[in-house]
Amino acid sequence: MALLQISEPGKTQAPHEKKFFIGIDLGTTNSLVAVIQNGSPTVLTDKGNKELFPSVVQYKEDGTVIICNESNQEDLITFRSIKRFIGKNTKDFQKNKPYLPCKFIPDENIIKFEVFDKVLTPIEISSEILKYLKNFTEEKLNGEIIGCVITVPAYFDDAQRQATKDAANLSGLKVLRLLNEPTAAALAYGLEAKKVSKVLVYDLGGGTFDVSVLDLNDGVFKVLATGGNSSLGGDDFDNLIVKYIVEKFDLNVDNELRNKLYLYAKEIKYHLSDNNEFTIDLNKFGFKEKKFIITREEFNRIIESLVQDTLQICRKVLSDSKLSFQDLDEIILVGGSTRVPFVKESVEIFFNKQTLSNINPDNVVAIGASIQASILAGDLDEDLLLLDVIPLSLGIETMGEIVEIIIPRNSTIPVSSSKEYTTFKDGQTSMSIHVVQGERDIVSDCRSLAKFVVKDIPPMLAGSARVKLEFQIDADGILNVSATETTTGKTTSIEVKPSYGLSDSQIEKMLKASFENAEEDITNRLLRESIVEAERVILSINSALKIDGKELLDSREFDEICKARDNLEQKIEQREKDLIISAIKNLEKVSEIYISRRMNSNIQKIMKGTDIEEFK
Amino acid sequence: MAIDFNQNYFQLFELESSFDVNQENLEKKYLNFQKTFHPDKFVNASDQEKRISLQIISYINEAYETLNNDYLKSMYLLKINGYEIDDQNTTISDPDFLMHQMELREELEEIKESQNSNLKKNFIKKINEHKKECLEGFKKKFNDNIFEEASQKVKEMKFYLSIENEILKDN
Repeated sequence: MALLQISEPGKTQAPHEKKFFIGIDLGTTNSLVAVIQNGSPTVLTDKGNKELFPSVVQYKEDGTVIICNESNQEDLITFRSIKRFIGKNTKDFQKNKPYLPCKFIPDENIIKFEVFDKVLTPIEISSEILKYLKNFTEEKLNGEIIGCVITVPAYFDDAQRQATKDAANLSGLKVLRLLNEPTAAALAYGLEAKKVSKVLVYDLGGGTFDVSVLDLNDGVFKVLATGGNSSLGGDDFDNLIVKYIVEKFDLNVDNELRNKLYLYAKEIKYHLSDNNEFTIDLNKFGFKEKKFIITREEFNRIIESLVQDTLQICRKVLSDSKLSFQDLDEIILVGGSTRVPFVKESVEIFFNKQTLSNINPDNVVAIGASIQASILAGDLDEDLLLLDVIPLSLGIETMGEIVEIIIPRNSTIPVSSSKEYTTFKDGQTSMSIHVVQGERDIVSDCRSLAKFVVKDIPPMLAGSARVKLEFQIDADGILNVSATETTTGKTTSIEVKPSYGLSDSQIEKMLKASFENAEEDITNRLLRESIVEAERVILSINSALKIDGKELLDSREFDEICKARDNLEQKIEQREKDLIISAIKNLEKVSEIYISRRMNSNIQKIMKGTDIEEFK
Repeated sequence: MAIDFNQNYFQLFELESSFDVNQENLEKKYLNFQKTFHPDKFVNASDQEKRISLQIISYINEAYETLNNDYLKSMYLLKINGYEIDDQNTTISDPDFLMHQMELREELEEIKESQNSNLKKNFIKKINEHKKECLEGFKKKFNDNIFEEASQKVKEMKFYLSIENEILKDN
């Protein structure tokens, strides 16, 4: 794509270092990293040849953090499944209190954990996992990661997506795009190559179960419906096996033995996935003469009701998507627990259809993410475009607690919508707006996203000020709001109070704090980022000028742009962040008219029916 | 933004500004726009280009959505012909239609209470027929430049959509 051609990988970079774009599956139980190497996706393995990194973060009192390597040491505060907390506040857990490894501090916007002498949010804890994956990958590949795609569940709302992005930002990863997990799975199977197709993604992980129905139409991926159970997974199979053994021998178990049996149950489950029977021998736990054979049939019977539960959820989600069984073209199995033969068989019998499962179900989401990362980076020569939709409607509170929908669910993103409001009092200078997400009519039934206060409205008679609010959802499904008073054209300031998560300044503070003890200091990182951005701008301007600079600009305009560009090049030499940024701004300002003309000229070409191929 | 987006949605997609748009041309242009301006094509670009791409593609998505939705399209057609309808204020004053509205509402309540799936199915079918009729009415009035009456049809359509939405939500 040559609108303003940028992608010349390697050009702005030090020649000896390799650059990578990676895909990350940031899972509830395990996380994975995949990268495209020599044109095909590879899942990275650690020294022990393991692909799965447990999403576990442990803190020691002395400040040490153990990440992705669960330790049995005592006196550790252990966070498993931190993903369940991301983008949520304490109110979200009032009904259903999860297991918490430590005390938390009540806060309206975000959960704060009291970890010894520190106060940590799920964003910071998740960022530890991402930081670990980043460092591991850079070491393994002996290069630098310049961008990544991180997958999120399709049902993640604005707050959860924003929090995931914040965690990545904090870990020093640049997120090219957040990608829906089921979409990633479809991408891994190359389903985008099909013209039209309806796909059900059955994702049974260690601790969660998700079902999504996708509609693929010429590169447009729509999530028609999602559902699941956030506390149902393969771990429950293990618990049932433990229960079975305990009941069979009428054992008295303490916590320690239960833990041991639990690990043993996993072993049994894995064994029975490949073999027909397993000899359970409790001799090693100190029980003599307690030995018997468990068959696969018996195991199937033990887990049958759980598997039935998942199928009922499938039925519900399918009906939500207004499709019938016959409409489905493909069923994709995702998640390690689908490796249990009985799960696969049951799904196939239920849908009367073969499933797609030839890609390792643990890896499929990460693989899809790496493909998307590669496409975005321009590395894969594929003309694929994923058009995603927002999973939940966005609305604002109006009189009487009623939700007025501003952007309906399933709108293709990015999307924007504007609404005009007026003042109801003479001389009113501010107004508050409450943004919610969800499908219900009443505000309290939806999820509160943010409260905005629009300030600095010029004082006028009631009803004469016109405040135009612009709601912009970007390609990651994240909302931005801006406001203008239209009668005076004055941009009014907005004070955002997110109902969830952290404000930008809080994130920046954390970022600074995280560098306090790090070898590379924050000033350096910001300088480097500004140089990268400056080089990007220069490269893009140069290649544009070469194509149509003479055509679209008169000589005065042309010279002016060149002058601003040369000035920026000079500033890069001086290695001063602020100077570089203001020179970038200057160049952008000078070339704004040019870029607009280029965009327009491209639109004109499309209007004339020029095939897109011609100006690639 | 200096980009000239003053042209209306039909001009943007190079379509005749009438209710029956050439769907094939619309889809083709839409995909071309997406392949040129989607933010995914600008992940390595400067922030400025990213911003512009975001604005352009949001506009294109809005335009496409409008031309692909009968209700939005009718409203938009009236709007570019100088006859704007306030989406929030679509009260209908025609007494016959008010009567008809009340009857349908009563029927809806009864069906909701009975939970009879056959009745429900038939009701949905009936609403669909009303919608179709209403659209035909709109097209005729609009083509004859009787905008006042065409706008009545749009308001009626809004009512049918909301009642349809209600029955579909009811599970």
